[in-house]
Amino acid sequence: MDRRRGALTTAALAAVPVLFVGVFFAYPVAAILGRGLFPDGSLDLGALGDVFRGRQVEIVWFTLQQATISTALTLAVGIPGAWALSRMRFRGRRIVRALVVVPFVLPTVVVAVAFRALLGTGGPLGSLDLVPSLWAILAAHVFFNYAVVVRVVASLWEHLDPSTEEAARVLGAGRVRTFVSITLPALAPAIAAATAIVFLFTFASFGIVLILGGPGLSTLETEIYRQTALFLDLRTAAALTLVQLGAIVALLTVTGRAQQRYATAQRLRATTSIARRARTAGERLALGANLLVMGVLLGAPLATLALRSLRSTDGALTLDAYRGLDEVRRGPVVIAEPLAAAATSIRYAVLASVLAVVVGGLAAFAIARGRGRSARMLDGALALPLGVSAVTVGFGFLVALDSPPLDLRGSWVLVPIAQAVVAIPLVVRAVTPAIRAIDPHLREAAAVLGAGPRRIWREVDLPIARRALLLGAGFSFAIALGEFGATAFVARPGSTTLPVTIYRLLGQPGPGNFGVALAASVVLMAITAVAILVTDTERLSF
Amino acid sequence: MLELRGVTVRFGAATVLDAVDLTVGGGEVVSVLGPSGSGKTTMLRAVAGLEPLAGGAILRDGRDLAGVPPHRRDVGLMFQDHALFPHRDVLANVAFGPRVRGAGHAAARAREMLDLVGLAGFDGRGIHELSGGEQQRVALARALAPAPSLLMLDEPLGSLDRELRERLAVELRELFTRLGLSAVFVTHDHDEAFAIGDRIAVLSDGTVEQVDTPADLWRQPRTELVARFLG
Amino acid sequence: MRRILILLLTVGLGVAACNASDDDNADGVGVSNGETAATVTLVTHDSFLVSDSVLEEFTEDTGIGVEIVPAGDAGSALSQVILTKDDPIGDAFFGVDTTFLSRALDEDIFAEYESSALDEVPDELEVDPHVTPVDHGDVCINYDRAAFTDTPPPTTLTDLTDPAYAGRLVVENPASSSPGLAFALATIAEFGEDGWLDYWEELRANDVLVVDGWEQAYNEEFSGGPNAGPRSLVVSYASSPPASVDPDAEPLPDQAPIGTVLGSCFRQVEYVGVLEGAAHPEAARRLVDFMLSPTFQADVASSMYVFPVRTGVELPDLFDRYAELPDDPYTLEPDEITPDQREEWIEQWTDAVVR
Repeated sequence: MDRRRGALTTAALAAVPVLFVGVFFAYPVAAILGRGLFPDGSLDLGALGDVFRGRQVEIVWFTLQQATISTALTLAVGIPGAWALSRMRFRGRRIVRALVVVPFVLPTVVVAVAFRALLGTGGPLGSLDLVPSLWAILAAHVFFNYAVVVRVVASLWEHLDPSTEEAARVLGAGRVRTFVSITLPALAPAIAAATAIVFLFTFASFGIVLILGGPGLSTLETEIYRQTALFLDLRTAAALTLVQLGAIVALLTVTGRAQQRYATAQRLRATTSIARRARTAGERLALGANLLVMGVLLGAPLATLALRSLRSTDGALTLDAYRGLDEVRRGPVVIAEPLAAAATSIRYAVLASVLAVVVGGLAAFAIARGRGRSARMLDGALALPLGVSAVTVGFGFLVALDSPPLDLRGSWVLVPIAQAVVAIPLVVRAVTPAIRAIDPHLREAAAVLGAGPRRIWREVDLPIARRALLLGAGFSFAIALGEFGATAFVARPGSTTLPVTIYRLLGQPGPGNFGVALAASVVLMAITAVAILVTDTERLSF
Repeated sequence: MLELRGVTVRFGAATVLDAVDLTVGGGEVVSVLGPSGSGKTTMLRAVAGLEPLAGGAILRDGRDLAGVPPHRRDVGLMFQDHALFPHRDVLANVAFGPRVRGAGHAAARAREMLDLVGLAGFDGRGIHELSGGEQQRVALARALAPAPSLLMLDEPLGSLDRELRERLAVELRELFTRLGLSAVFVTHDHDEAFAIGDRIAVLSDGTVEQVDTPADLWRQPRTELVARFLG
Repeated sequence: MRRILILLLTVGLGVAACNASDDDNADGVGVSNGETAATVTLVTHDSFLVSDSVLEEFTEDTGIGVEIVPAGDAGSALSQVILTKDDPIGDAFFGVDTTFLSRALDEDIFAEYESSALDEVPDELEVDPHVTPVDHGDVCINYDRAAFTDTPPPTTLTDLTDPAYAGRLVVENPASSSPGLAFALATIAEFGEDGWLDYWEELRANDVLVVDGWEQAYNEEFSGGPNAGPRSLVVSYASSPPASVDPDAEPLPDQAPIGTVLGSCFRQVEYVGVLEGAAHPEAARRLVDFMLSPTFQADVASSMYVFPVRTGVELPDLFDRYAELPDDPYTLEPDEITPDQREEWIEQWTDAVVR
């Protein structure tokens, strides 16, 4: 009887996220796909054939290629970074750990501007002539996703049982041998999970490819944008979206296993940390090298951005750009109000994070309680928005949400909703393992002490999950703050957000505007960093 | 006041408890002695309502507990791994039971219990700051705080060293007598079982081999198994 | 505990501010007056800008508030209007330009309306009764005067293939950039469908740089831009020279630091139209009339750096001094630029120049 009630509760918990994502994601996407696949009322899959015959095969191929290389590079740089953060104790470790995450949640437009400032003409690395090019894209991808590899792998590595390694050493295995045959296999679940996430993000990368890739390089995402927004060729866009969905579903299925094993490994890990101070010169060198890489990789683009914002057109240091943040005027016309836009962005982001934490939290509870296929399917379904183009969703809103009771097209509330939809899978990722890690004995102890099921949830599950929920809130806030795809290219009644203002300032003639765009990017970066630093705590994994 | 009548518990195909009969009278302490895997913990969990019965019945004061959820069973259970709430301090842990049942002065009661187990002043400590023995006592105080009429303890002295174990065993015995509690005390250590229990039930492979006073058990082991187990 | 407080504080502020923002739903530009009887919704692209006082005047005169709904760049905005034409998202749409006009007309998104104010607009700008011209911007090659002290700057399109100007030109990709497309169309207008691709081959041989968008070309690569880049010739606008002068400089320079290659200009006209099936068609028509009024027309130059279509409108001081407009810019008939034709041209261009 209890089991049936338990199943009912799980279903009730899952109902809210399913409904939310169903109405605000699945339905709009289906609507826009429907326009493309059923142009005259009957199914027309001819476009799929065109995709596989024409130049779009190259695009699919290139998308896979750049995602694979990006992932490989990120792993190559990230795993040593994970070693440094998990095995070595040093002063400032907590701050470094939190700062490492900031690039991940930075808005695409800021990152693109930062990399252009660094690698483009006039920048310190401008002579390398790397913008636009595949190298610029790869560099930006590694910049973005370094945090994923480092945090996911470090959170497992830090709690590996050292006795297996020590046993191997005593039995005669050298350092390298021990690493390869003992440590790596133990880390495999974490590496697999990180690989999956990074691959997904780089596969679906949009702003970076658009801005740093130049005219010759396009991926599935940018092509879908072009076909949908610029040409309104919904037929081709639908075919491409189907290909994209197929790839994402395949990816999620294949890596679902990896995720599960990672979750199990997390649960079984020791509670104590094996981090210690660097002892040998070799360790100090390795630690230093990693910190240097972090500083350069993550710091250089952002530092360049900040420095450029302080420079006037003749090279002098000035705060002029920041003075323009209140209002950018051109004669009598106010062409942008970055501070007002920042306030708007924060408002939207707060609402979006509340939505994401509530809906994502409920989903996490449902997924953690459920075992087996239905839980995995829910998890996968909620992750789909990460892989579907924001423009598709935005256009889908226009087509689908146009009649009561869902006549939300003209409403500003669609912006935080769209942002929440993208943030929910990240909240689920952060919170589900925390809930799964709750010792079932705690719930039983509470029950025996007199707490009924709802009381148990309030007294045991919720407080323990609270830290993870807070982290999820921080992430959602940052992601919502920087959201660009849906808000930039889709009709928005209501006030402008900061990323869109930056993008617009970039497109305005006039010498001061570029500087203000840079200054506004620095402001956006600072708000994001503060949000993460406030909500991030050390003992959390992805 | 507690009666297990033919209690059977199965995990899938395996029968963990096989038609177990046991009674515990008011104010009586029964030690359940058996090797690991014999089903001792399962028996406690079944009484607490945490495991469904495949057969038989559990009665409290003559009333069948079938269908009564754990939070309404008025038993205290001390878990083998303590299961202290990591997100609450010592006082909040101990006060949990009274607070949840809506009793007033839960904090005062909690302090009383901490005093009883010799941990006065530990109110604000975090769980992770406690030693093994201290955690044990907090778990005990927590189980006692709601004043259950029946207390069940699962290997409560398991992780402690010899000296501490002997001392605590004596203290526990005194405590039970003082509070007039009925208790079921599970252990694999026969010295403890003998020291604490009024009667001892020997459990092996899910079946009760013998239930007797310590003296009778020693003198007359009924089966070869029991004899070998007693050494 | 502290963190919870911070979280609650932000949530509280956010919710409170959210309620406060319900009345303010334009991006600092339009005015939405809750007291008036009607509001007209104008769908535009992101670059639409107009002085606050101008729209306020409209509201005062007519009692109708204006809500601006920006929808991405010009192409994206048009796509969305077409997509929702059975149930329009606004009452009027501003932002269809010469290159997109045939697509808009083919899709029947506009209702016919001929404003009486069209009497003040040159006839050649009126191409179809469904749309009303509002402004024109000329896409021209700009040059950095400081880089052309020894060599004279180019004056025609053909000049650009001269080795003297090798490695100096940066252009935008017509597939992703509106000025880029306009420039490509200029070359089609000059060299015809048979010759324009050869011209581009020559440009390519002359080391032309192709970037994705205007911002990158002007802000990063152009030596006259904020970044002082390496290229001294850029595809930009006839309004860039006035924009490059600091209005507070004393004294004002004789010449703008940026000049225009008048022989390279392509005329782009921007149109507004009443949407078919709009909720407030009458209000939309009044708005269209207003956009041809002297008040509005006088504002477009300083707001959007484009030129008014209405004759006799006074230009701002900087424009007067520094803007150079060609007498005979390149044009193409809107019905020459059908969506299919455009796509084909972009394909051909991409094949010739990028691959």
